[in-house]
Amino acid sequence: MHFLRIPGERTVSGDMAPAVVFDQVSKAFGPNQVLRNVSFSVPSGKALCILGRSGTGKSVTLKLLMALIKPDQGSIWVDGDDITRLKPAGVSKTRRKMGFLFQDAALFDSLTLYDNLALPLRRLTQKTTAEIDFAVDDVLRHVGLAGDKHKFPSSLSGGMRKRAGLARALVLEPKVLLADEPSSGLDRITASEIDELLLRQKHDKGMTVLVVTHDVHGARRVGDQFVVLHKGNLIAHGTASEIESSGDETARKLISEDYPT
Amino acid sequence: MSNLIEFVGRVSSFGFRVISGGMRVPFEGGQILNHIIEAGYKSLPLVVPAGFALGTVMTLHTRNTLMTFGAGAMIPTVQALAFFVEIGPLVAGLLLAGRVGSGIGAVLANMRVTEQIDAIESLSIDSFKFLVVPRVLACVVALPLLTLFMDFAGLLGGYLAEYSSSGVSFGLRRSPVGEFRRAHAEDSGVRVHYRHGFVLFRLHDQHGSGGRGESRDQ
Repeated sequence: MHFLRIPGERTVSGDMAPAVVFDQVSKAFGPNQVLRNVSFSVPSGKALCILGRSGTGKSVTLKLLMALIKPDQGSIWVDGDDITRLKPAGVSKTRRKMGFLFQDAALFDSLTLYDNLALPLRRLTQKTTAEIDFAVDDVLRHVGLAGDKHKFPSSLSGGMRKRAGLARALVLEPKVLLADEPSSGLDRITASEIDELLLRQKHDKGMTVLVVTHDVHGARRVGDQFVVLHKGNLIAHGTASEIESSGDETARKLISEDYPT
Repeated sequence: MSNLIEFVGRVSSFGFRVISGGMRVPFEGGQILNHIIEAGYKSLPLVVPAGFALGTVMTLHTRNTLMTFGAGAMIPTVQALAFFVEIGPLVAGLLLAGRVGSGIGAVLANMRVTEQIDAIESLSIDSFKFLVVPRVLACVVALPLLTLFMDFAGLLGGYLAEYSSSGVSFGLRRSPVGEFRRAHAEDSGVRVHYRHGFVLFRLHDQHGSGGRGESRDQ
């Protein structure tokens, strides 16, 4: 298959078929070239952490993957579909395979936590009200917010909002989970709890997880593989030890837990 | 010229998307009703006093002029003509644009900046149909109703102003207004209101999800 042969990348064996493939993807906003010919793949059921300095295109990578923005060139494959060439109905279908935890959770202000989670179930599934209640309660219990479903987002703490955003990302039972800065603005204990939830998705449900983060400690805990972006270029891709032994000083600094923050 | 053509094209495209979105399931009935209440019912405290004040002032100002030329009997007809054809739709539209239109623009722009619109899209929900279509349809329904409230509040204000000056009876004043309404039923301006409802939304949505405003997320 085409997406198993990425130029310049490691080949992926058939029994570990990639859930996500970026193939020579470039994106610019006006004169600002955000990504240049970026290629990587994520095996199904594995976690990939995207590291890099601010403004290097990490969040853009996730938005390209969710087809919220279109690449200028290149292909993006999700579960065997090239999302850049799909029609709107196909894009919508592929998006349902993914859940997105936004940086600030992006909960709908005017809806309670329950309604935030029930909204996609009501619109996209044939579930009855009782089934929706059960599904919402189940996923809220899973993230530790069982008693807060009638609260509005404005009354939730930062950590609770992240959990709620994660719950909404999980409510449609996606195959791929995308998390944009899941631990930003949180203390280390709360950040660790969020990391634990991400790990549980990977281990318990076999979900493929892509995390954009600046938190090296959390990234090393969650990630199986790492991608390091710098000025729009992919400068390293591999395991933590492979990147630590790479020749690129920026990549080594970004993956190092000892580097002063 | 090309900007004008582009603008007309964008508005036409917007209109087609609204119509097609409104005809697809789910029909968002609950959302539309909520927005009608928000745009219509909650605007009554602004529209009714404004119409009443306009009717009063207009009668006080036109009365002297018409009386000078012996046309005092025309006062109710002039006022009905002005309110039903021009002032009602125009002022109700402006007030709704100020109160509701800017609010809609701010809400949608805020949703764009806080990634809530991206979140809706990421859940495979058509954000235009979910956020924009119900608001447009609510404006299209609410504005004609508000205009009628403004018209009748204006006529009441005009009557009370006239009554305070000449002590004219309600029945005597009502008669020419009714004749005017029957005679001009076809071009009463109410049809214009539907277009105003659409246009005021389109203008304010420029900064939200439908336009190219600065708050659009990159």
